[in-house]
Amino acid sequence: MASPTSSGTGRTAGRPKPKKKVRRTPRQIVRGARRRARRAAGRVRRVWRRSLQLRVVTSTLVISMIVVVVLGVFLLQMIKTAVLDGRKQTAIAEAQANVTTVAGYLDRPAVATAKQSTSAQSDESDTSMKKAVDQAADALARRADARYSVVILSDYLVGEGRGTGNIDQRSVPQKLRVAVRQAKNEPQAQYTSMYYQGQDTPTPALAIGAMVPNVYGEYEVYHFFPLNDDVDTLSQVQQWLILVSVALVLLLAAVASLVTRQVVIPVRLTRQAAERLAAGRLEERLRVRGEDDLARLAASFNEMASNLALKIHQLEELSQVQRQFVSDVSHELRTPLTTVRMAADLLYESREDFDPAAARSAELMQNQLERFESMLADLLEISRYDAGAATLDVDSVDMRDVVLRAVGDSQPLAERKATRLDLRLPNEPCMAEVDSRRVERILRNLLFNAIEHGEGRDIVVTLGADRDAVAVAVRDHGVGLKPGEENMVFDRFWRADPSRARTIGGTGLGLAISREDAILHGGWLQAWGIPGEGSQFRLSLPRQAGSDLRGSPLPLVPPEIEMRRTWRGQATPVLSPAIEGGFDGD
Amino acid sequence: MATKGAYRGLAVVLAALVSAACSTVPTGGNVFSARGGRGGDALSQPYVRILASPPKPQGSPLEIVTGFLAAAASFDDPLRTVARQYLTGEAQRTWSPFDAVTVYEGIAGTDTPRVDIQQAHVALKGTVLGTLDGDGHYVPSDAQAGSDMNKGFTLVKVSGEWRISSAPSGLLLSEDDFKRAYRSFDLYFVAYQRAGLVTDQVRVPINPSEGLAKSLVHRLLVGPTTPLRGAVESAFGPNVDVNNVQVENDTVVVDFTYGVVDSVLTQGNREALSAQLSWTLKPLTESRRIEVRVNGEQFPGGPFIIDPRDYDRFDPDVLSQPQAYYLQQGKVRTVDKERDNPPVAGVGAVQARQFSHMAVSGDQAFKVAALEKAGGVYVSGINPGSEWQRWIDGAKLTPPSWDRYGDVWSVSQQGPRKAQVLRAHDATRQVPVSAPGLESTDVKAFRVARDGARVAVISDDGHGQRVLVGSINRSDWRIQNLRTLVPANDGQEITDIAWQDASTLLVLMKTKADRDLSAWSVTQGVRVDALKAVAGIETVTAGPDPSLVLAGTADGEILAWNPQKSQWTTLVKSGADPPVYPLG
Repeated sequence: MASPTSSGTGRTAGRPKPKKKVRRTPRQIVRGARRRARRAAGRVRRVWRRSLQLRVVTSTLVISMIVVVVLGVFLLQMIKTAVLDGRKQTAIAEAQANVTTVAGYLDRPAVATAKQSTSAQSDESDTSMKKAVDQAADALARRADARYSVVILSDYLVGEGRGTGNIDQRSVPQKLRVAVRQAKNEPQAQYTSMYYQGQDTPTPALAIGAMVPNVYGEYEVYHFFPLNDDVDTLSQVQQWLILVSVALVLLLAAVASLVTRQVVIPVRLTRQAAERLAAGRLEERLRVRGEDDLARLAASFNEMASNLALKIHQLEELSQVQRQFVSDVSHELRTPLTTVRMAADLLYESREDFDPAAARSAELMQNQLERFESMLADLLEISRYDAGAATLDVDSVDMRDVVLRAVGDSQPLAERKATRLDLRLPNEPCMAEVDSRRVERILRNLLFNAIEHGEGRDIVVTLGADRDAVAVAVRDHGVGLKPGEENMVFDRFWRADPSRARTIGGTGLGLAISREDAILHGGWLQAWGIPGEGSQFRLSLPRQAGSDLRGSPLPLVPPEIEMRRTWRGQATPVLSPAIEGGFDGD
Repeated sequence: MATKGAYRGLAVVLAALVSAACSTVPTGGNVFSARGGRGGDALSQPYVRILASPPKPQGSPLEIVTGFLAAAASFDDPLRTVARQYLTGEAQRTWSPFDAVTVYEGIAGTDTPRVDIQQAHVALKGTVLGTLDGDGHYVPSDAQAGSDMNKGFTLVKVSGEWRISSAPSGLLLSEDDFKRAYRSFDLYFVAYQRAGLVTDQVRVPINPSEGLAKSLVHRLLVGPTTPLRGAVESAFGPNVDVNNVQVENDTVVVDFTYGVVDSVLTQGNREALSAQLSWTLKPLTESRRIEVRVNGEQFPGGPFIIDPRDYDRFDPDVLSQPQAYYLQQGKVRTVDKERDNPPVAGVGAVQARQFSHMAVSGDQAFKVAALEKAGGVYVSGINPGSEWQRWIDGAKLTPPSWDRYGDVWSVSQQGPRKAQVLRAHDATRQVPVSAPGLESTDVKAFRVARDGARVAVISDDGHGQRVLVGSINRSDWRIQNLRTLVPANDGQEITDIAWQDASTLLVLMKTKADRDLSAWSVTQGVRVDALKAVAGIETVTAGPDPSLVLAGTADGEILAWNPQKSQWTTLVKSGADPPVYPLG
């Protein structure tokens, strides 16, 4: 839209002296205005879309306005026609009567005037004229008073033009004169403007013209009926109509606003209640007033909410029952298991007396019993968590010792798997308030996992610490995790490949328990993995028991992976293949 | 939404109901007054104007002259632009509509319009009815003195059309034109010492763009007409002009320029101005109140509102319902038939003197004056112990006449064609008053009008008797502006005159066989009424309406004119001197 130069100059002009008022080019002003307008339009659109009331009121306004305008125009037209028609009728009747009078005067022979002339000298009060046209005009002037004006013109006779009152001669429209002369016997009328002597502003008037012939020639008689009063009446009616229309439209808008308000407010309340319900506050209910549609809506909503709460409660109870069942089963299994164990131990110790097949069976039984026992222990442990019975035995320990102990426990398994454990511990002590038994169990679980899935490659155990937190990351280079498995690994009895056998006798509950342990500490246990790149598990714990954990001292994604990713991202498009090739070759 | 629709439906129904209730015409109800107000300007009267039209193409010389006269009679344009189109270029320069206004009766000379190829003559023949002075005073022309009129128009052809090359100067108006274009109005001016109002009459031209009321006030500001000039004053100062006259509610608002404030600095002036304005505007305003404004704003120092009823005492007729008196055997008696004409007590004893031709003064200090047979005018009060005192001494005195200021007037005939007007305020001194128009005539009667400004005189300058009317200039004591009101025809003798009201003079004339009693309007100079006179009437006296006209016969009978029955009734059988009303 704007050329870069103009914007550039604007910027450079503005930059050195920000306080000086910048003279903006018209284009900038236009752009600014357009931006502002767009913003305002956006706001309006948002309000429009959000407010049902506004939409209803606006549409009511528009529709009622259209109705009122159409009605008003129609009404005004009717009144105008009625007023003007009435006026026209009386005017025509009056004009016709006058024309008859004029004709009577003009037809009178001039004898009467001769008779008068001698005596009129002393008779001052008598204003009777001698000329017929004067008599006629005088009679009309008296009759008309100020109600209308009369103009008498004659084309044939000289000096016979007369006007009553102060009407100006230019009031007679040429068009009407022509029509009157052509029509002869039929009076003609026209709406026109009449002028008064000494006044420049015209007055709307109805002009009626008629021909009056007599023996000497023809006279044209024009009547001018001023329509001032009618114009006043009409404009007053118009004003009132406009006033009433505006009032009506506003009233309708107000009514619509009120009505929608009555509808919208319960709807809004319902929405808020639904939001609160969604946020988990199942006890939320709407107030039910009356018996109308909205009250029924509120009642249904409440019913729905209570049903929902009931169902959720039932489900909770169900899962409680299940957990209880698991816990009970575990407890119940322990006693027979102890007996079985004792018998199995006995058999196992005397296995050398058995034939090899039986000895092998005793060994197998011994192994599976051990696994069974540990599984039972895990189940009991996890059911303790479910029951909320797990407690922390917090003690300030050096995390390095905890890590070393866990590594020491895993060493035999690692050696068996020919896996090297690479320890990266800080030099100074790393003190934290933790339950060392549980943390050790977590780390053990992580290490066993890593060894099991590490496919013999190195396992890196890193301990990191900062002011608030400590973290342990266990990195393996095994098969890694598929996308989405980062969270599933912590599920109970989850396994990456159901067909794979558990070589180290994992119960399938290790990571679940570990996560519960971490949560119990107020810490995090997170997993990262990419297929083929291996995986990393990170345990982050707050240094002080009970404080919130805000961040972890160690990255979840291993640094080398992260570094490679950022390298790729930052590399220029042209150079990237080479760099990639370089890495590939590495 | 459903409720909204219901609301809208309700509104529509309501609107329909309301409009239905409004649109019905009542067919009953209270009776109300149907007196319609006059539309338009309440102060103006309907009038007709001539619409001037340009020359008719291919018009005959007569038509051109007729058209010119009509166009000149059109008052829309003071410069007569349309009328000038009838004139040749040369005539347009010389012809002026402002010179004089002649009112004629007659027809444009159709008789012998001599038409040749290049020149034509049209004559306007008729009778001059009168002329209109520049100050709006109409003077009817003397019946005898050459009232025939013959005005000639010369026409030439200008590019194929007849145009007037020479036209008589001034405006020529036919009687119709004159009646149409002017309205007659009484103006009122203040008499000497603000004693009252004096009526004056003018013709006010109708100005379509101004309105009659404004024209009238405008004319009032100009001042009195020539006959009254010097005898009366105007309360309006020299630099007052009127802006507008209009009706607001029931008040007539007269808007003056600021000069009016200077005109009403004293209370007396303010009253006089109010009286002038209210009396002058009375025919238009009727009984409405008048408010004086200054340049559209309220009069400084509170509204200046004139109620016409407050100024009735300024009546130019001076008297209302006056009592008539007569002298009988030296006693002054009141004319009152029902109470047997009681004598007025307190008038001094007659002693040996023989009094006749009594005059009675105005209301305040009632005095009677009478002519002593041996000469001299004697005056007596009516208080007990009053004496007859000689106020004016002289031979051949006319009957005394009182004016409203308490002066007695009489004319001493000092010889043939030698008269001297005398005036006396008390017994100590008689003052000669100069009267240039009378000094070389025989004066038979001298009557001061009741308004104190006009005088009526029967005089004879050797060319026959005439009734003259003039005015008294009281600042330099002079009888001025005398002009003939009624000339006596051959064989007629004017026997008596009497003021009826401010503008009407009764003139009693005698021929060998008959008496002629007629009322003349002094302001208009025309006869307004003729009363049937009976033989034997020698003197006459009259007062303002509804006072009866009284007459005295030679043998001492007093008659009263009954206007309803149009006949004379006898009040006093015989032995009475001529009856008189106060003043006049």
